[in-house]
Amino acid sequence: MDAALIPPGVQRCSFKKFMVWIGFVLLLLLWGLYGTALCLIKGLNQTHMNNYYGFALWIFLDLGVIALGAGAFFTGFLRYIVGIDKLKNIINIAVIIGWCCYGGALLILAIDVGQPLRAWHIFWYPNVHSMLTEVSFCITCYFTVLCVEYLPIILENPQLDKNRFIHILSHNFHEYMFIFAALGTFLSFFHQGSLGGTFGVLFTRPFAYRTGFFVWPWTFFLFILSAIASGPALTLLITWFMQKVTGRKLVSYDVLELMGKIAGTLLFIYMIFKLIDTWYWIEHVLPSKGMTLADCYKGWFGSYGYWLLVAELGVFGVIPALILVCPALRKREFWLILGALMDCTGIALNRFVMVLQSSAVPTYPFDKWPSYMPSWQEWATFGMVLGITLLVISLSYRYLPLFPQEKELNRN
Amino acid sequence: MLTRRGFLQFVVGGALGAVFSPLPWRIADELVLFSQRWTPQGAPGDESWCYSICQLCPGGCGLKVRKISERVVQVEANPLSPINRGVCPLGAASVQYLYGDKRRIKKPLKRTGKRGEGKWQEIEWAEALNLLTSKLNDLKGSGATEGLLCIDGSVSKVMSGLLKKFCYAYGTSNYFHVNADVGASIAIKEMQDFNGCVGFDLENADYVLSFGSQLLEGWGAPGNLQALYNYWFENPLKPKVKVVQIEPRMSDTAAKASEWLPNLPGTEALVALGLAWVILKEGKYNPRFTGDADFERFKRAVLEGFNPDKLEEKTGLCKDDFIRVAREFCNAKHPIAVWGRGKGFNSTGAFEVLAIHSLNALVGNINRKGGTAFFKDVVDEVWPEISTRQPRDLGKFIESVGAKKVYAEIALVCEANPAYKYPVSFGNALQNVPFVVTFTPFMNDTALVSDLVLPTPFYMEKWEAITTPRGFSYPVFGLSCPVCKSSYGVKHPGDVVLAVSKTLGLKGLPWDNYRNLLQYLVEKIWSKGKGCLLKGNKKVALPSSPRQMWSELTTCVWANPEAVSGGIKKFDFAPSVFAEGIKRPVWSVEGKSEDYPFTLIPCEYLILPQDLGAAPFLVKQLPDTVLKGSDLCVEVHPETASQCGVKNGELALLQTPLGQARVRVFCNECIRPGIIGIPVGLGHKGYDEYLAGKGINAYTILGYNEEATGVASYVMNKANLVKI
Amino acid sequence: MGHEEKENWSHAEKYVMVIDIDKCTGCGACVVACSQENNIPVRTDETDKYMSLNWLVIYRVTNAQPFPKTKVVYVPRPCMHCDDPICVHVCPASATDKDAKGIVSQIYPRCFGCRYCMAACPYHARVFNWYDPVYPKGTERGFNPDVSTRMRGVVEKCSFCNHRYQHARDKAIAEGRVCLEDGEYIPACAEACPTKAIYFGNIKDPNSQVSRILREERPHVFRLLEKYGSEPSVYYISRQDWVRPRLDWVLEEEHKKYKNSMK
Repeated sequence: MDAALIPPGVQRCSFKKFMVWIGFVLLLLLWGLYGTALCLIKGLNQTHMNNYYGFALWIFLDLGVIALGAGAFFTGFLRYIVGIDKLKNIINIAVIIGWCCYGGALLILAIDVGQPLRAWHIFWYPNVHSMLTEVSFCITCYFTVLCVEYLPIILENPQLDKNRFIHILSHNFHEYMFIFAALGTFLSFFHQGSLGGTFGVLFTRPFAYRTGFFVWPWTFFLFILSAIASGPALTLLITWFMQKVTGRKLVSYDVLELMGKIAGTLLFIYMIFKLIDTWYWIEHVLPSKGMTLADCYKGWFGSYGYWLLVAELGVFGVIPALILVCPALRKREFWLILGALMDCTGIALNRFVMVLQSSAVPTYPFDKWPSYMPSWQEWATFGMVLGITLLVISLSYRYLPLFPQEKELNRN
Repeated sequence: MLTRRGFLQFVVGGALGAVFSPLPWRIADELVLFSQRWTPQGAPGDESWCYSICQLCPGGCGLKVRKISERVVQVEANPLSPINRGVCPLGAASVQYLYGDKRRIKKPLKRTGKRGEGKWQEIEWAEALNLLTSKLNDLKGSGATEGLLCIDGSVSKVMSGLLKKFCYAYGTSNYFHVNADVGASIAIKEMQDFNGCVGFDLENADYVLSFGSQLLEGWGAPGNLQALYNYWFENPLKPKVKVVQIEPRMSDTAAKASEWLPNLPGTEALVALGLAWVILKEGKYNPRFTGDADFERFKRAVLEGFNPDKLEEKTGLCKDDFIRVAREFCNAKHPIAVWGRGKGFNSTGAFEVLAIHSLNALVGNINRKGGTAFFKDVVDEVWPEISTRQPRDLGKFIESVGAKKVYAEIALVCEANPAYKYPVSFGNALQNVPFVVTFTPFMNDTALVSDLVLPTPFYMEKWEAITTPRGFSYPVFGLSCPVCKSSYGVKHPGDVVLAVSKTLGLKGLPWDNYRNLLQYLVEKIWSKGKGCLLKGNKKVALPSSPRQMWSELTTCVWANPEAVSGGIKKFDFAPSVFAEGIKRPVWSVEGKSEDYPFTLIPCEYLILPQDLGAAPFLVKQLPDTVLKGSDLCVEVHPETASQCGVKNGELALLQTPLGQARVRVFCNECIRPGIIGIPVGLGHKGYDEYLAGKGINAYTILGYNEEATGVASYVMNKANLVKI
Repeated sequence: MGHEEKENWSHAEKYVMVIDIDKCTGCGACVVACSQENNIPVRTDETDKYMSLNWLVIYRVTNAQPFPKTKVVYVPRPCMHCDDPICVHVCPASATDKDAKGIVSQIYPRCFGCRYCMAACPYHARVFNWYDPVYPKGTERGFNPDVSTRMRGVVEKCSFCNHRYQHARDKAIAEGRVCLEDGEYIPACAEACPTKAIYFGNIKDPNSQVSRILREERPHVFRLLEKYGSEPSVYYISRQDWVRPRLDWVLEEEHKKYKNSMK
């Protein structure tokens, strides 16, 4: 039925099957929209955030998806600026994932503010000292760049491509893509960094606070590093997952392995710095605030226990770094995927503690640890973003030639 | 025709034009304005300030009220008031009481449905007064005038005096004031043959022994005690006083006291006599009241039965503390022992007061600087006939009405809330009282079960005289004038009483209205020529005319610090109350100890007034360890909780011989193990959605204990805590 | 506001609050007076203290000792009006600022509710309007016209009753005075306090009550979370040696030193 739209030479499932899948996605989306609407109409009392948890699930998810979506700019950077040509086989999906992650983050941010009607104040009355101002400028600009990067992929749809103007436009886009890649890299670099800065500058929140270089706290650089260490891993994971779901080969294993190598190497470097940073924080930053490590963790297990530290730095930090830098392990699919998965988990954990634990750590010696469980509306809003992501990836996969290698790899 | 070029030009031009037009800015501006117009704002107006006196409790704090046009917006302390330096939280919430539409009663209400069903008909005042007068007239005609029961909760002694006069003129002796400390008045009557005001000169005391009196949480005149706290501890390193708080639970007062001695509940009398033992044994007593036969009797009995050695287990205090505190007490220059547990609204029994007051007598500190003070209030002096009558126990009377031992036809409740304080017995009594009329500004628990509800003005809307604040050591008189016009159909209860007595033809109430009565009193005080005007710390001579006196009294107060002078007629250490009391356990508590291993005690909080429901701001300030959602929290020691298998914050069943209630458990190191503290002041049926249905009325399960001497009060109960 | 501006305060005015913990009885009058003064809303259920909206709260702090050695103090906590206010640094929309007399302001119509300031403020002085503000029916008549009510979705906090400063200033100008007298401008909480545990005034005036008290009580003065480095303008006094380490992060050896200095 939609055969004309499907790129020539590739096989896609039947339209009916596709519609059933899309139906499921739409259900998720609808649930998400309902939750979102409640938050917008009735206000943020629909969430379980409170005066101690001003930032909660949403900000964590924002930070998480923005880190994991870093595959877009970094793959672009490596492909167009550094010139690793092999990455052209995976750049399209990286851009789409990036678009979904950043778009989703932007959407959640817009819901997360108490007065969405005034969200533009951030641009109109900007406080240049605020990291959040930097974040919002960067994310808005970078999302525009991502749109520009996404556009030529859309224009490659066989029906659109028939139009001569579009064909030439698309070609030109490809020619000048390096400019956007460079711009995107620049913006995203600052975006990731300022997100780290958002927490690192909080000298009144010892859990998050870090000293730094010039105006940037160390978290600024650690966030960039951790983002580019996990972004490629997520791109790898999603591509691998798409192969499993569709049952088709989309990229050659060496491309996936390369992504794994990139992620692993960066994660390795990141872990070195992160461990030094953590040591410095424990030995110098916390005592300067009159606190000890024990004041920042609530026992060993349970919520906010030391296990989080062990998990973030050890189990999901050092171990995936070792797996991914080891060529022998990387060559085996199981280890590659496990390593990538653990890599993403570790970075997500980092974002989790930066957001949630820095809010939860009692600032007064006499205060209690507050507890927080997200409401269904908060999950639903995330569900909406997930729905949009699934929808965009599904449609893009079906109707756009995302994977240059697909035709060749599936030729029997 | 639209060409592509033309279309593009149109779009680009339009976009450019829009950007450079004021439109986007206008829209942005409107958006901001739109997002601001969601909340109501206070209307501007001219600012003015008036003076008033707070009447939310018998503390008599002087206030300065801020008005914008005709709206009252804030209250502050009257700098001229000798009583208070700031305001207490209740006073600070005055504006919310004043304008609380859902609590205030707009018009006289006549019951239409069943009692307590909440169906009312709004009637005019004329009809309401007719109804009231005809009921009173019928009863009077039948000759059974004792069938009128008057339950008074007025803060002003003038209003109470008027009601008493009305009752006696009508022919009933069944007048009760809800705040009367029956036990104390029996004790004082027996010991000193005195009837009148009892004061404590805490300002000049240098050693305060408080037997569970929550001095900072509503005992006496709260605003004055807060000011005193500042005076005492002006330099906390060199305090002017040592405050020793004897209380099973660390109340705010205990927390701020110099020393906290956690005794076992209900043993205050034993502690006092144990201290007396040390003083007697060591012979350190002051000879002022000693030497008579009664003293010898007292001495013998105390030395025989109250050796601190034996009291250790009973009271929970160690012997060394007894000896040390007793020595400190009699070595102090101006020691004073204070009675009235909690806020002092619940009688602590005659025996307990006697035991505590005997300490004051042992150090000779009665009617002296820094001691207890006994004097006549202005109202008592003007109407001596009403002050000679001994207050009676309302709780017991209500019980007898319920048991049909006493006949009651009409219950006249004036600004009191007996349905809250006696939830069970008042309910029973109501079945035998055909007509209940309630004067109240608020829809309280009692108004809900009345037949006729008459709205009275809030203190800011009426003329009132404030006499000696509770616990004050000399007589005081001040006037509080209306600061704003009431927006409800209210009438002063004094005006109503005077109008009704005129119609009924009662004698001895010649005034046209309440204001006339106040003028009469001011003239009386002026003509006596005693005392002075107090403006802050300054004493000013009385003005030259009663008229001027009237206008002065609306900003400052009249006082007679010299009213207390020297000698008292007699002092009896061992009256019959003492002889009775030492024979038996102080308080009788029902129930078996096996079933109820713990002791339940009331916890009182300043922000939880009882007769008057807490204002929304006060409910908001309640910690979540008192009220969580709609669950009441009881305070227990962690040890007690683990004994019951419940954890902090969990729900549990609080069982007492009187019934059970679902409560939340709040574990706290500030209470003796084995004791359960239940907050008093919640669980109202009346008022508004901010208070009604929240928590439990502690009086439903707190035991109504009978003292050996015949005084009954809510003191404690046996209890158990069971995991749900 | 940047650090550089701090030195440039040309005014001879900087307002601070001094709270004597040993004199506070925890009665709550300050909180109620503040609520009345600043048109603070009340919901019917405010027992979730993490959602409750207050500009001033009183913490009940124990010495964490078992019965009967337990001790308790009450610690009123307004906005600290820090000299290095993290909230001002982080607000993306410049909706909060530190003014020349030392007050950290909040512009409600500009705030769009991102709550970054709340995540930053360690004192929990900033609260969010999770709900549309509600007032007990009829009590809107008691609104203070000097303070605007806030709408859902914005952050608010104690303003040291800035409007009272304006009033005092207007009065002084009308009377031809340049400077405010000591005590002419004090916030509602200090005004209401029945034990007068809250002092308020101009620290740049060496003769003011606050300057005098801070001088006299120097060994007993501290601020909350001093090491966090935001330079709060609210000072606390306690002469009990257990209080400070329960209120602030004090490492053990420091506490010993402190204890000795108090002797």
